Amino acid sequence: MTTPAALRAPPGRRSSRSLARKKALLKTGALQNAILNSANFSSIATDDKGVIQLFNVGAERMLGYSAAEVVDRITPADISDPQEVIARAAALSLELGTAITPGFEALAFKASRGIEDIYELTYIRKDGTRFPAVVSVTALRDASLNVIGYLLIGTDNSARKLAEEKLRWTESSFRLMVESVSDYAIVMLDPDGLVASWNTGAQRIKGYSADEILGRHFSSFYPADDVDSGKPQRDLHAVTTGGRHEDEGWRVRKDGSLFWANIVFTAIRDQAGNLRGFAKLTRDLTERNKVEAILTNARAVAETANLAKSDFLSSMSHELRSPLNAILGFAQLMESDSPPPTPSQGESIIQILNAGWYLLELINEVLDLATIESGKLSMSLEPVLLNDLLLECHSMVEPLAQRRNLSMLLPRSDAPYCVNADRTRIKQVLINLLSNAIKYNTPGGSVAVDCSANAATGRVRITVTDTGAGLPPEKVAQLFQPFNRLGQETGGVEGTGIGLVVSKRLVELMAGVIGVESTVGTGSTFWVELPSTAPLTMPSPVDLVPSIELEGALEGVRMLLYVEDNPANLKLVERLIGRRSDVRLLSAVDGMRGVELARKHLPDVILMDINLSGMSGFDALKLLREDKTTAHIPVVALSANAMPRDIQRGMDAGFFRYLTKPIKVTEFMAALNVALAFAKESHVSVN
Amino acid sequence: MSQSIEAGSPRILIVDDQKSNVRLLEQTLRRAGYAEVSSTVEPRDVAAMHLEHHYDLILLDLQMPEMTGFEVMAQLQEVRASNPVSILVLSADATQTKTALEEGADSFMGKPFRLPEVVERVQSMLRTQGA
Repeated sequence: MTTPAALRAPPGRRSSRSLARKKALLKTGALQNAILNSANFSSIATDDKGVIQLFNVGAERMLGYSAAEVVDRITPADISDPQEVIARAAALSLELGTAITPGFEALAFKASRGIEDIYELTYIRKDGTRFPAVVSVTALRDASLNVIGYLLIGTDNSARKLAEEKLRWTESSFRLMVESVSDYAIVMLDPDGLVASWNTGAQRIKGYSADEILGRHFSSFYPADDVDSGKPQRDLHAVTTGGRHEDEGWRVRKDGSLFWANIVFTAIRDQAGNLRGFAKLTRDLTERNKVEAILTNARAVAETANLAKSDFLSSMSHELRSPLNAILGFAQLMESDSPPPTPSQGESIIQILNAGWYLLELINEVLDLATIESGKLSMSLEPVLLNDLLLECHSMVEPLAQRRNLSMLLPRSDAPYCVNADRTRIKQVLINLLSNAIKYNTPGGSVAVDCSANAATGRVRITVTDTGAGLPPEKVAQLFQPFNRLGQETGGVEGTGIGLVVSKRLVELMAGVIGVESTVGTGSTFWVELPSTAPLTMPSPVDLVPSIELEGALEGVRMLLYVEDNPANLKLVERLIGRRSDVRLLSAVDGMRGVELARKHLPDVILMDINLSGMSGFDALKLLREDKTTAHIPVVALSANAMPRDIQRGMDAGFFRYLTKPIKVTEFMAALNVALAFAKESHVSVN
Repeated sequence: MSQSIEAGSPRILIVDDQKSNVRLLEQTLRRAGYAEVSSTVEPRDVAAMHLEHHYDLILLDLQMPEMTGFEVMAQLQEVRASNPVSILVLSADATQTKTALEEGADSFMGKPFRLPEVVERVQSMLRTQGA
């Protein structure tokens, strides 16, 4: 058997006594070479006095000493933290009731008494650095059980210590965090529901200090009624079985006051699944409700202010109209006076009238903008045939163009262009663009309107091109800002500068885009793009055959009043009715005129568009119903609003039938026949 | 109804608290050939005046400090059954169109108005009445 290097005692220090001990040690057989050579354990064997006899490779590595430096020279107490050795001696003295001297005895005393001893202590390396170690001490005995030495097996405990330290830090910072949270009550309960921890938030919300509440049952937080009905137990049961339980209800503070709380219980279980307690998180919703009330109030104040602004603008515009009425009215009277005004007077009167009508336009645009910005403007989108609309616009601005000696060019092609838009509003936009093109043009110039469809984007583009001065890019950028007339202020040209802003908002409300391209010295092209849609289809003669045959069923000529502001729809119905010799068609372009005509002519049936500008179809129906002369007339609604709730709303309002656009010829004719038959019957029964 | 026809010219009353408006409408209607045009700036008198003079048409302002056009129409409502009269409301507030028509007006025009349009509307209302 070869003697391991580590077991070799330094030369020249061998005494006969030590040799005898070493033999005894080797005899024990308990020390295997493998153990002694392990680099991971420090194996230190001492004699019965503690003097180191063996110092293995692991010990050399851990402690930085070579075996030669320590064997026969020092005891393990000499490489241990002296303070810890003293403390351990004191502790053991107390524990075992006998005086133990600080020194090796403190490390080996228990082992010498046959007590298994594993302890933690700090070893000090040769270089003075320290590390925590776990040391297991065993007494080595000879055949007659006399202690002949000790074996100290040590492991480096640094890594575990570090982990423990980290955990402690995490735990303490977590506890600090929980304790310092003041918005929420975070409370731990033991499995019986007794309060085990209490944070700042709990103290703030519930009023108890930790001393007052720790160890008390959590039912203290419930109103008496809930306690009597066993609610606390039910809550605990719910969280025990479900793992998590949320509750909202009244809870009681220390002073007896109630607060409305949201509580989340979570069951805490160990790795084996045993219930260790509950975490209880409580929020005082009374406070949240207060904040909500403050926010709601702030919102209400803002809304009131906004409403006040709208009301102010609205009443301002009305207040301004009255004096303007007098100014414009008397100027008109003077203009047509007899004897007529002198040329000079006539010139002055025209100035007054121009300024007056301009002022009215300004007032209307301010009111328009206020309405749009208050979100009160309602849009009714339906298919609008641009070809018709552009003709209407053209006839409206043509006189203005003629006065300025401008030529107007309409779209080159007759192809139908149909967009999904609010008819009244798109007309307003186009009139605005056309008026601008005329106003800011050069004498003898032209205004060209054109349409083009873009299949890729699904949009139709309407362009209005003038031959005016054009705009540099920096001015183009300001175009759609309110009250920017771009240096035209001094040009003697009327214009409010709000028109384009209103147009932009209107186009955007119709899911469209508005823009401009301009070249200084050449002119500007304003364009509007709107979503394209299929035009209303005109019925083929075949569609009309069945209804022609039906006419024989009715005697005499009946009258149908159609209230509609969209000429395309009107034209379609005209064509449908034109095939029937038994029905005469009367039409009105707005609700008020519709009601007037109904009162005057008492038609058999009224066909009513819902989305009329000004008075809506609903309003008109109400008026017709309230007037006993027109109350009996069946009114058929015709609307682009085809959602079921729109139809229900229409039927609830009292329409005889509710038809949706685009007009389906068969459905339309059937409804008309039913309404005519109904009118005839009710008319007979009335008489 | 037959009264105005017998009288040869329809009887028209203008009600407005602003004298300028009254004058404007009077002159406009007279020029248009209506001879029997009277006026008042006192809305309280309207019902009594109508009972006495049996107007065919009343041109009524809505915003008057003493008594609103709506109150005037309410008072007229009581006497209208036996003394029919058409009412044309003239208001600077176009949003009141619907309410005005609900409260008894037969037609509505916004201010400021174009004089030829007023004449046209008056003619049309008087024609309808005679029909």
